[in-house]
Amino acid sequence: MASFVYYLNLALRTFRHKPTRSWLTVIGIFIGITALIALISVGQGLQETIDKQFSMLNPNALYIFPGSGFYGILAATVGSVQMTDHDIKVIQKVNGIEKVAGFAAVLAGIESGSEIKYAFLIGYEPSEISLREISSISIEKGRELQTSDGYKAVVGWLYANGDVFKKKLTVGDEITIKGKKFTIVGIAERVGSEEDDKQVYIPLSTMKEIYGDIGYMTIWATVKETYPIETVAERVKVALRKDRGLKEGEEDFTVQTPQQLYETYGAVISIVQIIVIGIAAISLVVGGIGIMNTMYTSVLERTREIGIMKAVGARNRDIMIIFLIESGILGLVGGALGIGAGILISKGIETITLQTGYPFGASTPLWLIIGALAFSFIVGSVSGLLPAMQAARMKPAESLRV
Amino acid sequence: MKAGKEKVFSKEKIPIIELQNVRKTYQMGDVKVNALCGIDLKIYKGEFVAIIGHSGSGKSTLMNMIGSLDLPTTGKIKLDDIDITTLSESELAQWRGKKIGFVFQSFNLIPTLTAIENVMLPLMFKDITAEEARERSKKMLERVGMGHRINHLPKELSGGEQQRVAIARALVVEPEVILADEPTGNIDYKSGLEIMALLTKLNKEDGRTVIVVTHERFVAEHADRIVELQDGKIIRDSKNHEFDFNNIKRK
Repeated sequence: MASFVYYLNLALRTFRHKPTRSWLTVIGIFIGITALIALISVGQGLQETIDKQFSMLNPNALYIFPGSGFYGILAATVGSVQMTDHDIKVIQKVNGIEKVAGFAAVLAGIESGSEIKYAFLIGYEPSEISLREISSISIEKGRELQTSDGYKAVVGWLYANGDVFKKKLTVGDEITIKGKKFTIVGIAERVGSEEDDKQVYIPLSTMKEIYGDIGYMTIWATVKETYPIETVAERVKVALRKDRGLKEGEEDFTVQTPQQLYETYGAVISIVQIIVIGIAAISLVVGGIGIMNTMYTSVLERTREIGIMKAVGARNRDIMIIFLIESGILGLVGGALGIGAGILISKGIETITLQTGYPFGASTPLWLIIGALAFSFIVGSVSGLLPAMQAARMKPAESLRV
Repeated sequence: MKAGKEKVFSKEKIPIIELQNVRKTYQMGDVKVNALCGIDLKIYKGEFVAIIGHSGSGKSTLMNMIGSLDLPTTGKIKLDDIDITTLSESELAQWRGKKIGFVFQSFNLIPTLTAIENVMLPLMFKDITAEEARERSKKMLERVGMGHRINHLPKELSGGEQQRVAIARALVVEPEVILADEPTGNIDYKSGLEIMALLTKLNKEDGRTVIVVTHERFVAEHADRIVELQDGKIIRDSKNHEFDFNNIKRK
């Protein structure tokens, strides 16, 4: 059996002697693998980011928000549906619930000096809940809101470190919301997304004084230890449904555990990934057909060469292996270049995303690289199978006559 | 003639190549063409045989049969006492690769491989490491006077040089038989003489069996025995000095 190195050399000649054709052939696989690597790397990075964010959440907390299904959640987001104080009372009575708190949100104009910027104003009751509990955000400088705080505020990281206003704000500075002056008592740590880092937090009672009772965007409830969270979540659902006189399936609210929330995000990412992998697969199939076409041409061109090899002792199997390795190499080269380009693209997406403020890192695991290399080689070889069989079947005397 | 033949050719009892009533029929559309019509031929170890004849006489078909590149329609061919008509394609390829070294009119070097890579080719289908193959190929190129150009591509070599590389490739497997099909057909007269001198040396010094298919008189004159073919039949088979070149049959 001939050494693999020699076969490899036979196969690599194509790149030296027919460079244009070889590179054109490689493009199909190249594009497919590029798309595959870039999209999976981004998806993988997204998954890791979400994993990290969810690991910071309290695993015993339930999130209850208005609306159900896609349109319901949309309605809740634009503020047409809200949870109420009555809902909080209902939830509080559910067996297994430890602590319940609502937080309100409104888009507000934040003023500093003569400038005004719009951002989300979040109201919560410092006696019931802390910023750390709601969203795992710590205070970088100063302190959290306290029970007695009236017109005090905690501002997002960007007010102190970014360029929201010309003047960077710090603890002790004042901001104005709806004509009322607030003293900054704390700066939140960096979350990573621009939206989160521009939020302003004030006591719920103060918010009600300014805006009236605007309801809650989300109700947050913790489950007592030893109680299974899924069971309690179901009980909350039943209690709210009963209170509102709704049948199962008619809910106009959503109760989610961190696990469910996590799975919802995971499902969305999976669907997006399946779609893009499908598109990449089409490109790979087209690339494979390209390789097949090139290999058929190559077999015809090298009929005499096949005759020579058979005359000097090559068996059908040897000829077949030579052509299979060659087509495999075409696939492999496309795959290797595609992996490089895919990683570059995913890093580019990462850079752009980081600039807009979202904490995201593309991630290309080793298994993906090895898998993509193996896969591109296999696509190449499989595409070369029929042409290689044709080559192997050629009769030596006839091949030499060409 | 018969008595003479036995006296000269019976030193070895078993012929290296034996054709028994070999017929080859090609189907060309609706017409059947009889390329070989019952050939009986024995070639013994150490012989230098020229097969001559005009185009269409069946020379090339006979060469394919002797070289086991093609199988007869009917009849038997024995190569080193093995009936090759009973072998599978793969067995045939291996047997051929071991027993026969081919030299072609158009050299048939692989254009994208260097001289040494071309010579290594037959060894690559055997159980030999690449290093050993390279070593043997290099020695063989030196033997045929091409040791100085081992890394050249065929297109960088003259016709005579290419044919030397082809001979090195034929020799590298240490074959029993060298089968040359019009080895001087594509090169100038002087280079042709050099190639024939090389083949003669291989026959006389190394004792290799050499079979040359040709229509050129000066090529045939190097051989010890001449077989003339016409219309798919052997019409003359004699020792060189008994062969009357002026009497070659014209169509």
